[in-house]
Amino acid sequence: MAIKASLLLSLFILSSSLIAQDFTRRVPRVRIGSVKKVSGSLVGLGRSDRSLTYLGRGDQILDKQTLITRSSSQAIIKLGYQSEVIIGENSKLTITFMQGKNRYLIRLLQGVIRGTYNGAGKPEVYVTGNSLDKNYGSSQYDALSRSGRFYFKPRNKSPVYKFSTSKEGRSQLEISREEIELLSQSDPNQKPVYFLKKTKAKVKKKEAAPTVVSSSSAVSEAAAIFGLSETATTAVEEASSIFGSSEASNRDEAANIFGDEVLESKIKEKFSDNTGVLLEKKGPTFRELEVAAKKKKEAKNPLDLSLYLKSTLYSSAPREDVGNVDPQSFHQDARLNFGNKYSFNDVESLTFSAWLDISNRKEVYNDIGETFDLQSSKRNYLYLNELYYTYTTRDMDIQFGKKILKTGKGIIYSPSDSFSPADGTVPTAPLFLGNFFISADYYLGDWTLTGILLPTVVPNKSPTQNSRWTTLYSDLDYQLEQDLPSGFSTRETQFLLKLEGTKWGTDWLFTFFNGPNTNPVIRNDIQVINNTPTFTLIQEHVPITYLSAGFSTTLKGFELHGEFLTQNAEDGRDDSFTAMMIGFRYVMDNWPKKLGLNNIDFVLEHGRETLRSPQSQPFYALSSLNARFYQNSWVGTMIFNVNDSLSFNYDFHFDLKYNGSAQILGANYNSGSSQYRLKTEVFSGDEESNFGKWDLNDNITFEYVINY
Amino acid sequence: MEFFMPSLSASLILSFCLSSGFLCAPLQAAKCDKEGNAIMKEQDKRQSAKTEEEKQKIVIQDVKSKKKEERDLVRFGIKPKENDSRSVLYFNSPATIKGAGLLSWKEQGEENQWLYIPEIKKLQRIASGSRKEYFMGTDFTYADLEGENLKKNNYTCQGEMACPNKQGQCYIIEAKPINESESRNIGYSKRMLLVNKDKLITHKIVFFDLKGAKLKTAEYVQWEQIGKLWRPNLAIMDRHGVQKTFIKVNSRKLNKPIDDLVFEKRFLEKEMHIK
Repeated sequence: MAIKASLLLSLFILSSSLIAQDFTRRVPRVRIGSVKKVSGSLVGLGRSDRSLTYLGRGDQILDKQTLITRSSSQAIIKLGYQSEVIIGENSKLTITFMQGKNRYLIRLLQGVIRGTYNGAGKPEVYVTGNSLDKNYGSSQYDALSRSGRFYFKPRNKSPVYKFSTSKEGRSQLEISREEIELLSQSDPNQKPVYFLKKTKAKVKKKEAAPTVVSSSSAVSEAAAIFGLSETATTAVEEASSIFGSSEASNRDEAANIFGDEVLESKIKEKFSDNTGVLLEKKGPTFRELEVAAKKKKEAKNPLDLSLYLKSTLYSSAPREDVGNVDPQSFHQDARLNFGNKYSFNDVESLTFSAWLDISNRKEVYNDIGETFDLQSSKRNYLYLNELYYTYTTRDMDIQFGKKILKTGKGIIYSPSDSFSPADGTVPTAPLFLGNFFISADYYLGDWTLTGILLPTVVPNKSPTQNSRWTTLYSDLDYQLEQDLPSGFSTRETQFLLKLEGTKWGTDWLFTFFNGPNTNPVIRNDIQVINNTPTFTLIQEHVPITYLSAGFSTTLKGFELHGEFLTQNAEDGRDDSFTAMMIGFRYVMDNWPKKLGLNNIDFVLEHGRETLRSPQSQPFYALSSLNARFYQNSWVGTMIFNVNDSLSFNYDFHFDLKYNGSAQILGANYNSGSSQYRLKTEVFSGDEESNFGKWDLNDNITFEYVINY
Repeated sequence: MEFFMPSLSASLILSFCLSSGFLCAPLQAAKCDKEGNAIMKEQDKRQSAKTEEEKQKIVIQDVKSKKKEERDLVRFGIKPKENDSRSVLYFNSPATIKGAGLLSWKEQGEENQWLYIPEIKKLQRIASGSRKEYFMGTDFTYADLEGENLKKNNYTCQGEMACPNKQGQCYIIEAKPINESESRNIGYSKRMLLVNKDKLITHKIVFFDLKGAKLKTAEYVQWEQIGKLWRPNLAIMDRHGVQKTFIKVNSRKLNKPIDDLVFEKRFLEKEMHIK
């Protein structure tokens, strides 16, 4: 079996080299140098083909050829008339002859080289890293490329020459100080590092394939399974050095990915294996130096940044029969989010987040002079959403400032989360808003008791009356004013008490809330001026009280959760009702594979509300009903994960009370720090329902997010 | 209504592979006349640590496109009692998942897991993902990351051979799930392990799918001895021709005191993990 395999491999290698030669013939290239000496393996890669050739003494180096040395390998090549380059182990470079300038350019992609120019005047050979902008040359130099970073260092005080496409000159300072320092640190004695030094024991040319010691049939089978040869024939050795055993190639890749540490470890192992290779290694590793340099850079970036861009194209013009509605059918939004957390020590920190927002939507923003009006019902161009201080002790956390406060057990809808405000200027893309607050969390085992005082109401932001998203369509050109609570009584200050913990494999939540409702009602004020009645609509935050309880648990592959809430409004100024939510999340991962999917993530929740006592106070025109979206609703999402980067989603909200629906179909693609999302939103329903009022708002939206 | 819903679940594990010793960890010499089960039991016994702290870099590479994705992960683990454990892990990068964390408690045979997503600002309980699912886009399944489950496998020592990289002699151990149901749960018909005779560390594991075909290979390299425990600093899972996952441990502490607070829900909820 083994012999047969070896034979096949030999044939394959032979045919590969023939193919390579064939390509070489078809793409003639200029000879620019030759191999003077090789210790270990020097591999030459073709330029336009994938041919691979082992180079030995006397072999030609062709223009634009890529050279690779393997571990424990080193090569000396001659370039031009008077230049020599030593290529260290695990190095990869491409050499190009620049005819117009009569120079040789080495692009060092990985590893280390040492160059010498024995002629007079400017050197013939210049070196660069991944970037081709700057090329360095010197009579005697070392150059190193690791993890995408390039270092160049002259030896014996040789002058450094630099040229770029735009200019050329001679100056030591043309290399940044940082790079010089890095090299100096790693090489304090001006001696080369990472070059192999021969000892009495000869360096083995190729890594011998591990051999099997005992040779039972089971062991032979195991050898085949693990990719180790039972008998190391020449052909197998050769194949192994060309293609590498899976381990060697994987580790080479790991070295490319993680840089020096992997290589160094490899070197250490080889050293301990006593292969006869000694390494000079002094000072900090390049990896350590890189980490130090990276830390310096990181320290200069005090913010987490992300940019969000959104374009929405509506299928229809907005309603024309009412008011002065924004007539545009194409909306564009851009938002720069920024924030950070500053830890003063182990127990104290300050966190903030803010955004800069701009859009072509009509009358969405406050005037710039009102930027610091954080209670406004309109958006601000610049909005400080969070700024809070945290003090942590073993048993308690104290926090105060402005912060997004979320509670509840629902994934999409939580009845008890109603005190947490949102910017619903665009209701299908709400933004969580921070509350002004002071909170204390007391920890007792797996339970937490939290008291939160919210002295100032931050109201929900609804679509403006000129927006195509408003649910307050009216023929009247009405004025909507805000009546925000002020003062510190229980009617003007929000207070939340929460007990949360885990027992019997279930998370439990109990809350009590008292204070002005974050969702406003509409009061109709009538004033008689000059015997003429004048109507003013006023948004009022009516005092309410609610009690709620919730749970979350798992059953087999399901996560189950639910909440129950009962809410009373003062003096019939708003509705009093009971709300509940129940739902689950389940990840399907068997049958979706037949469809080429990784899995399907499914969340379904049902919200139900029972009105116990509707708004009854005279001159109150509207209760908070329009802001309560889940009176009898099925809401959910299905995420079809194709792989880590690509997914599709179907989100839905079926409003059974008003026979309405909102459905979203989307495709999402993540690439590195960027996310792309294309979606279509479709609305329908009875005229009195929110979704019915949006039936002209069907749209296609493209969103792009990049994180820095 | 769109969520970050990775089956982050088993993540704690990621590290188990690199840390706690089951899968990757290993042990002390025994000849092949010693039973496979005994070798693996001894391995398990010797490599357990009371606390672990690791910082890892995960690189996922697509074999065809060579496209790479990187993630920085921090993990803390504690084993207060024989069968109980708590762990927390969170991502420091990329920015898209920075701050996302997973808290796991395993107590009295009961497992609780919570996921924290900074955008949602809530800690949400999640059900454990299917064990044969790949974890967060890597080539390690949840089952791989759980470590060796001695109770659910039968181990047979089949002989000896040279370990990779001339690292001494290795036992060749075949691990077969105890029954078909377990086999279906983890998605493997068997695994072949190369366990170092001297140090009893697992150098390599070859996985076979339910039809008996070679599926993927895991290699554990860069071994480091910390006290009496051995841990690999690099794990490479090669799903041949499809994708490779490299997990590099950049720093590790074993059996050093860790504040209990780290394993409480407040650690993620209050974003104490985000520096």
